[in-house]
Amino acid sequence: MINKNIENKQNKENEDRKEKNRIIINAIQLSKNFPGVKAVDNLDFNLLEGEIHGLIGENGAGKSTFIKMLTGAYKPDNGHIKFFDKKIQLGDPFYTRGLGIIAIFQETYIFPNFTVGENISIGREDKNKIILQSNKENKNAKILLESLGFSINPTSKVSSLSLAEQRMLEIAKASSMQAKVVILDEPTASLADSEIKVLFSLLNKLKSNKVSIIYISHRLEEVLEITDRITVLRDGVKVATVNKNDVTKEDLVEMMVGRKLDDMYPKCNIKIGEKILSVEKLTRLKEFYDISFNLYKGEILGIAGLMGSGRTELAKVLFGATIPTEGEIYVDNKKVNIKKPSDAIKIGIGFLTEDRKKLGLFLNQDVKSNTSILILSELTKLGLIQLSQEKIIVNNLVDKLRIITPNINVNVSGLSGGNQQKVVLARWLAKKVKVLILDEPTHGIDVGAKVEIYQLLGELAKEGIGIIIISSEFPELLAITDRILVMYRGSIKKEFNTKDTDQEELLKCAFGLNSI
Amino acid sequence: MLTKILNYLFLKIKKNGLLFALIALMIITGILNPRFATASNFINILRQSAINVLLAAGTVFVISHGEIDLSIGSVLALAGVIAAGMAVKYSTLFGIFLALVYGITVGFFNGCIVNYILLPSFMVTLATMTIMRGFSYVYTQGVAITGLPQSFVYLGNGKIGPIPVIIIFALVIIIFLDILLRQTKFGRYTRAIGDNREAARLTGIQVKKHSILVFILNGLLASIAGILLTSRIISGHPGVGSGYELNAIAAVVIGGGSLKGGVGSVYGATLGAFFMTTLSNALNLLNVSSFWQMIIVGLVIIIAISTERFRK
Repeated sequence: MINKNIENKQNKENEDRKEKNRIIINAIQLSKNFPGVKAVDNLDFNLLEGEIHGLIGENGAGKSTFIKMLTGAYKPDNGHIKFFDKKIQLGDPFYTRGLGIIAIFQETYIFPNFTVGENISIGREDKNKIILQSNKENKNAKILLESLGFSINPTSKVSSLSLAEQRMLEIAKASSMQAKVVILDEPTASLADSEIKVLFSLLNKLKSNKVSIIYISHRLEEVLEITDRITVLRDGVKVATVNKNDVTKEDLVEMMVGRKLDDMYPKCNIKIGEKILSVEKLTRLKEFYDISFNLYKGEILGIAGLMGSGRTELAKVLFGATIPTEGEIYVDNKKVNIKKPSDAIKIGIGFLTEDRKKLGLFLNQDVKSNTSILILSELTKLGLIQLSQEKIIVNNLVDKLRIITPNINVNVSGLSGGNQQKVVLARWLAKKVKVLILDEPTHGIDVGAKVEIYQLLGELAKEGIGIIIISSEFPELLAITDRILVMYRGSIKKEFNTKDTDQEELLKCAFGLNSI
Repeated sequence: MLTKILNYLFLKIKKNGLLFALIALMIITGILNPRFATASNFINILRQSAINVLLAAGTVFVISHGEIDLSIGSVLALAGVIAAGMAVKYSTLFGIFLALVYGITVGFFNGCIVNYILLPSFMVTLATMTIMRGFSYVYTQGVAITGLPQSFVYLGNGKIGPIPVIIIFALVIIIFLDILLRQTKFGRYTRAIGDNREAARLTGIQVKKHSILVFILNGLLASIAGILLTSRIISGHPGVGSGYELNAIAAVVIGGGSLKGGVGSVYGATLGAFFMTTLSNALNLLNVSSFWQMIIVGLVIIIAISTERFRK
């Protein structure tokens, strides 16, 4: 109901606004489908000249797909985009960039060993001059930087700048390219409060130069502070576009949730056994603090939290990929000393990494080698891997997990994301661990494969394995876990019994709201 | 029917391009110069390839685990003069023993610096390459060591029946290494590390220790090659083996290995090294001047690697 009221009010205000500010981007009924998912569905969106427009939504709400359609990285299946009332070509990133729609993503695309001046002018050197004139470059850079109220020396090396300065340099570079629209994705990630202030003043300066900004962030306080209007997405659909003065943080959270729990997530009833893993006052400086919890046999424990809340860092320490500064870990009531991943594996802890391509798979090796890598010692007789035995084991796992592959001798790079994820999971099933930690196990895979993975986790729990699942998809956690720990800025904010909580409560907690 | 046969042949050729190129080279050279196609010339080629094949087989381990080792040519030379010097002074066995210990030590040294001081293997082994070359000149004062005992000379020149001992040595080692890379934990881990080092670490592979073992293996093989070469030319010469590391790298890549790591086979590297030796033998028999030979060999390397790329 709140939404409706706000929207009505908003529509009226929009009319008022239109007289003052021109619409620079008008996206009409944009849709984009991926196999099994409607990533963006019939989205209408408009951006005014000289406006800072917040874009929020949970992971998977369709924010990045929408942005990719705006910048031309994706071609929409339906709908069109108008730029200053003219329909533009879709799915052509160079064309869009030429119009002045520039996206600055989390990783900065600058050259760290070049100077500030060189970075600003690179790619746009004077074609008539063979020898570059660094004096002129630096002078131009200085004028630009000063006009943005940004005082750094154009001759200093970018690698000597702070992270905030680097990010601002990139924004400055965009503005020197006659940007009309700048898209920022989590621009304040890993910045200190004082740096955020400076960044915001830069954004306001751009705004006064009639540049429009789309501001994507999970940090709702900041969104409310810097933006003029906010669009909330959920499941690929626009929930509402609201004026920032009309809403509170709580309203925004409420709009972001609302997804109903699907019945397809199978919840198994498994008897919880004795304590298997126990963590006491675990700390790793600058990442997480004072984490204590227990895990029981047959239990599925969820860890929720936004990106940067310390959840992945915690998992890495449990697995020995990094070392804690303080605290203790007990497995089967015995204190363990985990210094490297091989120690953790010996003790019986497995870890399915978040980024399967970068941290999990051996892309140039076949399905067989990828699956059996953890059990080669068991398969080795007289120094040789028993290939026939390996084949039987891997084929069994392929059948059990319904991995779709022509045979086990093809390179794993040719498999779909869901099947690749199953290969990594199969690896840990083969090893028979006591505790399995999974970091975003269903990220980027289709619904069918997701359900299969949930079922598998249920079966593993039945066998008495303790499972920790880290996820930013709250419906997933609510469906398959027994308990959920919510992390916020490096510590456990609260523990929930899954059946006593709901998505809204979890989301509020993850955003650090104290009203609960 | 005919198209079927042609199709089948084409597929086979596509899959085993290097092998067919080698066969084609042999047939063409055999037609142009009948002296090429004699048993004695074949044995000659095999004997000449022995050294290069060993170096290529060691290098394929280093490359498929994602690093590079430029020092092997110099390691070969120093191992050779150490073996020769000690064989003359004490005994053949002691000479061989010390040369092998030396090879292992250099590998250990390279591996430790690359993995614990975290320097790029290209630079580290480039430096050891010069250092080892320097040592072999210091040790010999620039003069070749001669007067090797008969037992030492036998290794590189003896025969069992019609077959030179050196060929048997190389063959046994190659078969061992092929199995090592294909069908053992060590081999799988080697390729896994080259494919994705961080993923390898996160699957519990002790990446640094493993990498040092790979460098040790390569140092050991270089020292074996050094002993065999010294025995074959019946003198310990400090200048031998320069540029052999590049031949070995070329052989690995021609044989389907990837400089990015993760991909490579001992079979391919062996075939690659054998192909290059055969090529230079053929060019010799066809009276191509050694200056032109360099140019031709370089071009062939480029062609071989490019066709490999197109195949994918």
